[in-house]
Amino acid sequence: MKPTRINPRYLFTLLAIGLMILLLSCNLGSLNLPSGGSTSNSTSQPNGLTQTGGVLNMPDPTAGLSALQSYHMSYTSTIKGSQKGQDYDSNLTIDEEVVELDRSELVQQTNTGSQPVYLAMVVLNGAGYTQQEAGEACQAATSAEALNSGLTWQLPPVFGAKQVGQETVNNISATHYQFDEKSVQWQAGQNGKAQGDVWIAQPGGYVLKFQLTIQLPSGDFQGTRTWSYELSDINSVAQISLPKGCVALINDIPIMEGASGVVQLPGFQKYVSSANLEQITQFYKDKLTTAGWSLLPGVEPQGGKGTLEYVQTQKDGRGRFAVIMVDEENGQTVVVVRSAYTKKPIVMDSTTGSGALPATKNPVETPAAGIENVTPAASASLPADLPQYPGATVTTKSDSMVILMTTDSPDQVNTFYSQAMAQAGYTQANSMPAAGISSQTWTKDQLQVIVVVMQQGSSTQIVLSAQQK
Amino acid sequence: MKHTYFKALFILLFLSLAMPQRTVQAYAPSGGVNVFTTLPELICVGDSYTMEGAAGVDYPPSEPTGPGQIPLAPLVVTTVQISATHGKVNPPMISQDGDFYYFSFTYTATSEGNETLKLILNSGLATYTENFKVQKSCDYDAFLLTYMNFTTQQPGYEFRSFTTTTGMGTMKRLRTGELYLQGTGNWDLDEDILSKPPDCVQWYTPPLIANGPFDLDGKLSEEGDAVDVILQFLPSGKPIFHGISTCTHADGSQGQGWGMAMGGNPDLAAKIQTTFPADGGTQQVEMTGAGMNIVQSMGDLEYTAQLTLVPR
Repeated sequence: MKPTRINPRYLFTLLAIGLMILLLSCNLGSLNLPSGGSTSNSTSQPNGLTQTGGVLNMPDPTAGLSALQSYHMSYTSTIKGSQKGQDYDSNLTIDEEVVELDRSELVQQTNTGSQPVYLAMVVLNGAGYTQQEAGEACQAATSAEALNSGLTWQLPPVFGAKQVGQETVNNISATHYQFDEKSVQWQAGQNGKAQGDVWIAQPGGYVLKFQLTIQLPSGDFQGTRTWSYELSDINSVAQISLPKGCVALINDIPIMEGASGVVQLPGFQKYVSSANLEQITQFYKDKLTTAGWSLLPGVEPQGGKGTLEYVQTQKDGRGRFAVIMVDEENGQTVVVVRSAYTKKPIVMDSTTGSGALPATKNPVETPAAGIENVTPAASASLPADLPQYPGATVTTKSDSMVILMTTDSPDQVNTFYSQAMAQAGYTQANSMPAAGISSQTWTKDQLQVIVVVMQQGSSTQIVLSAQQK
Repeated sequence: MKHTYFKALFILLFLSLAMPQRTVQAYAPSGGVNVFTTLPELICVGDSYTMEGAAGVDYPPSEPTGPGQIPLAPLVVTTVQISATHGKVNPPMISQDGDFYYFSFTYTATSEGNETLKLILNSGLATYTENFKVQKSCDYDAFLLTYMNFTTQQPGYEFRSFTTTTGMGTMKRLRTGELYLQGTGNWDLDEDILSKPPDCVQWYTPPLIANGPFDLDGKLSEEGDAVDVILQFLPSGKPIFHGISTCTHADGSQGQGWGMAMGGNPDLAAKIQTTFPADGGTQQVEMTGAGMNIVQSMGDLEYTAQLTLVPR
């Protein structure tokens, strides 16, 4: 058979016809969808929900929630009946609270033939927490990726629900619609009978309340399915809390740049840094002081080890503390950070606080404000020739008293003062050595100087005070 | 005539290409499956974990367009098959009625290596994969943190102190194949006096510093899914000195004082007992002991202990 050659004019005609059919088919397709609310008494939402002429079409009942700042949601789904002649009972309840990006969800489910499920899931400050039994410890992850999978509770889409009135639900104005099986054909199937109610927030256009019961009289499953859903506390939930027993990750205390081997567990943080003890101490001092933390007195760093203890008062009146342990080992530094909350705030009185009187880790060389004007009646000014222990840190100083800390032993300190005071022209009045603590009393003219030396942790504390004889 | 024939043929061809796909299948859903339980980075052979997830089949976001689309039996059965390369899962298949449900299953590590845990929804409608490392045997590092926020009324003022105890230790599995673990560690106590006596215009008191050892005992459950841990504080064994406190009175006179404690009564030592999941974590636990009761009787004591177990 001889091949036939097509006239180009016919080809263009056919292409034009094809194009028209394509366009026509698109238009025909759109005619099948519910109208989009172009009339004056209609509204449409970006989520596809339309309310036109008293008729509601709701392809995604969960849409619109993201526009709310916060809310509390209760959801229940049940299946009760018989499946292939066997009794079947399923109950799923979800209690959810959302505050912007934070979210908590408590799932409880019982199913015939399956283990009950208890699962508390929380997304808080970007971290994810799961708890598998009430009151037990949580598993935690620095990323909440798995919890944000989008796989969560569902409500059936509804098409063609009829408006029955305006009502107020949980202090929110809403339009009440009712519907039957024709509106939920995916769930009701060909034989099911349904009765449903839905309340749409006005304004807002989100589902405020939803109730649906479907009777399924035939098929493999015969019985009843129900859905119940309700929003409350809209834009009035203050904050998301972790369930009891669940300890928060420390994700607001910074980690040194270049850290390796990072372990993040609830209330616990550990990493290895190439920075030394001094650099790490300064890093936390800079970062935490800026963030409103205060440093408590503690032990002087020694032998490459140091512990820092910071406290902070929370907005809700609770206290919080962080203990940072730094340990230089084999050319690298291990940092362990732990933190917890207290019911009562942890606040030092002003004259003993780091801002007024020096802590051992915050040595200051000048007397605290308000102290320098105190003129002791019995005490005397420290003499200028009083020997200062070499390399010791001044932790407290006033006109008549100075407290020093050193990493040398008490014996070394006692030996030093025995010699140095005598060389400075003082006469020893008495000496009281004891286990771990000793005092030496020295006199010169009308002045009496007392030297007290004692071990404190890994340091030695020296107190020098002057009095009139 | 021939032209008319080809014209009709092309129109048919275009019509067949251009017509919308009017499917006659009753229900062609999409869906998803996911595990929500946060998994540890390290799992040991013999350890078991209960994992929870969800499986769901999505509703089409549009109205059925004809009777042929409406499902005859609308309650679908959703099936999840679970498999692991270095462990056992129980049950290996979960099948439930309904288009969305949560489920629970147990994973037990049986051999070391890189595990691939796979969940398949409805024979391939959706798949979820989780990877983690299975190690032959794990010991634990134990980290302790306790605090005591103490308040008591003294003549003319409220005495307040804040005490933390930090500690580190290691708990090793006994290599006899039994379920017991043993270890030791050291604790460091740091008490700060927060309040200023009212008769002092200047007050300085250094923190009370003390340290000592503790014992750790553990036992894994028969199922391998939990480990019971007992931490027993042991006395310091050496004198504990409180640094020299100084008080400057309004008249300028000064007073100094210091304290010392010797030994320690083991009968008063505190104890912590709690149960961890096999992968460790952090537990907020209660301290018990006669000493704690004595302190509580002296004032208002808020105390908490956190024990962190890190497998290694």
